[in-house]
Amino acid sequence: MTIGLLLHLAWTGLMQSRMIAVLLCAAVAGGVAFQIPNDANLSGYEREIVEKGIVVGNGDVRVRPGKTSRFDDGDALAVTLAGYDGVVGAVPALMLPGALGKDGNFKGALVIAVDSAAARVPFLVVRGSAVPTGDHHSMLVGTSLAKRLGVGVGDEVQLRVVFGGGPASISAEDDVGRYTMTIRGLAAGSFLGPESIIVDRSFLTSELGAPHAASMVIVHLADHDASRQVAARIQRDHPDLSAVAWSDDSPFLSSAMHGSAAIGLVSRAMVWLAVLVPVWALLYVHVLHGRRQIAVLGAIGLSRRELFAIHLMQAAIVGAIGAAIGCALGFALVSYFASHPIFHSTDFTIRPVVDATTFAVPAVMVFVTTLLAGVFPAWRAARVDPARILRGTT
Amino acid sequence: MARRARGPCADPSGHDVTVVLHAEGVSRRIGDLAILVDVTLALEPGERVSLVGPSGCGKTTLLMLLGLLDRPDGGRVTFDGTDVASWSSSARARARLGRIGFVFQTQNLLDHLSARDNVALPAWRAGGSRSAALHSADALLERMGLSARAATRAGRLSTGEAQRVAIARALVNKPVVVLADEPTGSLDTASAALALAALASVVADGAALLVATHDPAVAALGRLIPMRDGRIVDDTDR
Repeated sequence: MTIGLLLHLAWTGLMQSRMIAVLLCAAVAGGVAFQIPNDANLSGYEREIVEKGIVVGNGDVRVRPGKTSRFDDGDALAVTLAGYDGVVGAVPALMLPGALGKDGNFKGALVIAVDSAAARVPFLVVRGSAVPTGDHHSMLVGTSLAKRLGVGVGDEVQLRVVFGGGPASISAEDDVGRYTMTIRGLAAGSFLGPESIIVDRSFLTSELGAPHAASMVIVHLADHDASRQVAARIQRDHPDLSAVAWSDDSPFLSSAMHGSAAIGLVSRAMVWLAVLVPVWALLYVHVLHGRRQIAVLGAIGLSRRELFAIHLMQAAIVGAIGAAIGCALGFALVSYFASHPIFHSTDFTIRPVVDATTFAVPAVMVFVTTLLAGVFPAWRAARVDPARILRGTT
Repeated sequence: MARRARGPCADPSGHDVTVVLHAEGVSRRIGDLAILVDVTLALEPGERVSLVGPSGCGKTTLLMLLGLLDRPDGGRVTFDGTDVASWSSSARARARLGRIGFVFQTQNLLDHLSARDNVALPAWRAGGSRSAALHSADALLERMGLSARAATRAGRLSTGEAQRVAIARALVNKPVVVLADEPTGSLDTASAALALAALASVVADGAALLVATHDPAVAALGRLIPMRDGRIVDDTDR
């Protein structure tokens, strides 16, 4: 079979210049081994951004009142929104401006009130425990706010909540609620979480005198990429309210995702060049050094197409071996980064994502690059003129 | 100008049907240098021809043209009555593989392959079966007295051994024409006798043999064609 012969010649020809073969495999393996942890960490960053900004943040679609400051019946709206296709949860939340004080030192903060029993909440309890449903005497404090104020779990603090100019208020003083509460835990997760105060929703709604009030309904989807379509559907069905996808609502989140994608693209382009140039050069040198052998093959009857195939097969062999070695090295690096994350804090940790794609994409990309790098040297080999190379002197 | 070989049997198109390989008034220049000038030569099946002449007179260039490795600047080469000028490089490669055996002046083996693989390579490519090709290679190497060296890498063979391997490689596909450039130049007497016997056997099987040589013993074995300054100066039967 001709393929078997060509493969045999490709392999033996490659092994003739072992140093070049080793350098070629090293260039390919280096590219793959560099890109695997790169992709894995970037995927880990994107996953963490989604996790903290959407899943334990303000959700995929943020539904707010159109012209009023809050929904009178956020619970009913949440039930309605939960019935949309692709929606896996709808959580009403009440958010009001406020401040947290200790020994007369107050720091301004957003007060977030959600049902403690809700399946998804826009924060993560990183120390202590969640506020029980119906508890009006304890709260969670964001990690950054707690640090700035010098308070911790178990401390008694003063809470101020600005309810806004409701119809019952007769003065600005009348709009502010003053409470003494105990810190039950520290919260992080949402990008607002570390700077926020979190209480049970029943506490704020009862103080407000509106038991079902909500300033926002947080809608969670199974597919984060479907947020714009679902937001558009909700908006179409409820023109009096504002439904915005996370990508349109949070410039930080969308920019972070775009930035990550751009870094990934630049990184791939660099790897592409870093593999293409040396592999091309080495294969070209290999062809130049082997011109006499190529001429002999041509002289005994191998066609130009077959000579081209032999040298492209050499690129494929180098690509396959290099990619396999690169995957092994990449796995070792990813394992290292899994136990030693490149970024780690209380509420944001980048851990590499390890799945088939993590290995397949860099391996295939570098393999194809190696093949591309081999095209010109293979073409050059096919153009070797046996008569010119082998001509003697008689 | 050289004369056509013996045995004219022209067909209606003017081609000589008994001539397997024919150069008609071919010229070849390399840069400003005229290597071959208006050379005419015909080879018939079973014929043995010796090209003789000083170094640089154009023998190798003529063999390259007849071996379809090169193209003439003028004149034409016909193979089995067909002008090869219109042949694609693939068609030329096929002819070189299956119908023309070429023994180079310097052996030009593939150094990284064994002697056995070097001989088997054209047969493997032509026949598609490696085992059959290796079988043929083993038989030829035995004829050349090289069975014990079959597994040795070509780069480690002596010059004489390598030349015999090169001859075996040229014969493995049972060509209709064998072109040999100084086939015994690097062989001792015993090895040369083995090589000449092998080459003679293909002539006995009906193939044409054209040998470029300085060796009077080799030259004496066939029709002698002297060359000088790129021209055939005489083409007379012995």
